[in-house]
Amino acid sequence: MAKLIIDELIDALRCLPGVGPKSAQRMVMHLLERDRNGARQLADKLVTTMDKIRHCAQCRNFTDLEICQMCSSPARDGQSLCVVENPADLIAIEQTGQFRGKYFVLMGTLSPIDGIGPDEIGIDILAARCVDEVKEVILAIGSSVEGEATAHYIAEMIKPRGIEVSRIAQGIPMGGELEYIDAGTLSHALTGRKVI
Amino acid sequence: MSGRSKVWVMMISNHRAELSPAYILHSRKYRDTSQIVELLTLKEGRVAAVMRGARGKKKKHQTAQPFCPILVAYFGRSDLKTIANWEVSYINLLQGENALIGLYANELLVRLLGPFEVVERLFVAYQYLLNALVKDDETSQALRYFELILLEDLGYGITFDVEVPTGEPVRPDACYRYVAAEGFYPVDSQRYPNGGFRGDHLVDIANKDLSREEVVLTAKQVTRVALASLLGDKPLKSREVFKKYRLDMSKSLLSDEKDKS
Repeated sequence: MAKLIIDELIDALRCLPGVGPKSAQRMVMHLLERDRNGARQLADKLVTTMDKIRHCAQCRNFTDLEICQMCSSPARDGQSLCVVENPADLIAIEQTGQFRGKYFVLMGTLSPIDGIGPDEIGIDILAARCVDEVKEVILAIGSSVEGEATAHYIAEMIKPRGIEVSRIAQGIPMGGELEYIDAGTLSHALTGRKVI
Repeated sequence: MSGRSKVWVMMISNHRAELSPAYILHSRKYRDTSQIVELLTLKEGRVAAVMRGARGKKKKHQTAQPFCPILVAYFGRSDLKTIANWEVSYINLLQGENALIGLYANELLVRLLGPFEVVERLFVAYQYLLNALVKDDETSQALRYFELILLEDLGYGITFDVEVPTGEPVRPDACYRYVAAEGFYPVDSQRYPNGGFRGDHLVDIANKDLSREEVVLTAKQVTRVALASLLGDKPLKSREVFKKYRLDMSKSLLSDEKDKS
């Protein structure tokens, strides 16, 4: 017997993270009973987004343009480049308001076991980016083993070109008490200490 | 068994589960706040286990990191265990290229070692490798030693001091070529490309004496062939990463020299 259209939709919704069969069913029922217009709009937006959004040719962030707004903005300082793991990290750094340069989004970190190598994180695009006006590269990469390997790779690749490379500091969070901080963070904080 | 008594049994086994030494080889996200970790344990070899509450803002434990020795207790009847309790013994920070080497060792273990194969010697060799990587001292020796023990513990140990097909001991002054899973055939060094492997190197490797640099290189070439035959047609990603790393580094250096001239 062919599957009912409703069941197909329930199955399809399960591609969302954290959505199981029960919550998928609840969503479908809600849309059918109460918000058909909203559902139509959602379907329409999903199709447009999936068709139009691609990676920016310069920074690899998601955009519907060839080169994203941030990369083409004259207000941003093209001399400093901040390398982040994913678009969510970019937003987090933007919210600090501390950085006025441009970005590069790796879309992951080097992780050989997961099959992620230099090509998958766009190393060549980054290398091509670091020739013209870029004077400083800030590596805002998470503090994991994979992050460490990625940061090292990029730093070694860029340093000989006379570009200043730094990695964001790791250590004590705001309002943190030393007693409760894990040994790994604390040892990073000690090795990366700052003269005041 | 009713739900309540099942929980009770789990609690009992929780108490009984003893902390034993292990390393995290790899972790991947599981649900919103958990991780599935691949462990290399002293007692049971490779074990996959769910680590609950390991991620997210309200995480209960410090973040699980590869390369750090941990003590772990897990329970469960299926192949996927559940971690009851764990703590980090001390922190190993692998930096730069050594982190890449560490990831290579982890990929080898995840790819080649079957679950629940007891590999105590390999565990020690892995520990030895990590210590060398942390100190950044004699890393290539430690890595070769680790590869040799890995092959031995997988049941594909290489007999370095016997010629095939004769079974005679390897002669230090002769040259040899290596065929995976078979062994060392004597060759005419004049005719063979690169002269083949030297007998005295093979004798040193058989005695686990890796003090000479050229012996380490021979061990590297032999283990590479042996490991490739076990890995089948899907090559190691970390080796590809290394290759590209070297290429990118040399490119950068070249462009640097051009700039200067």
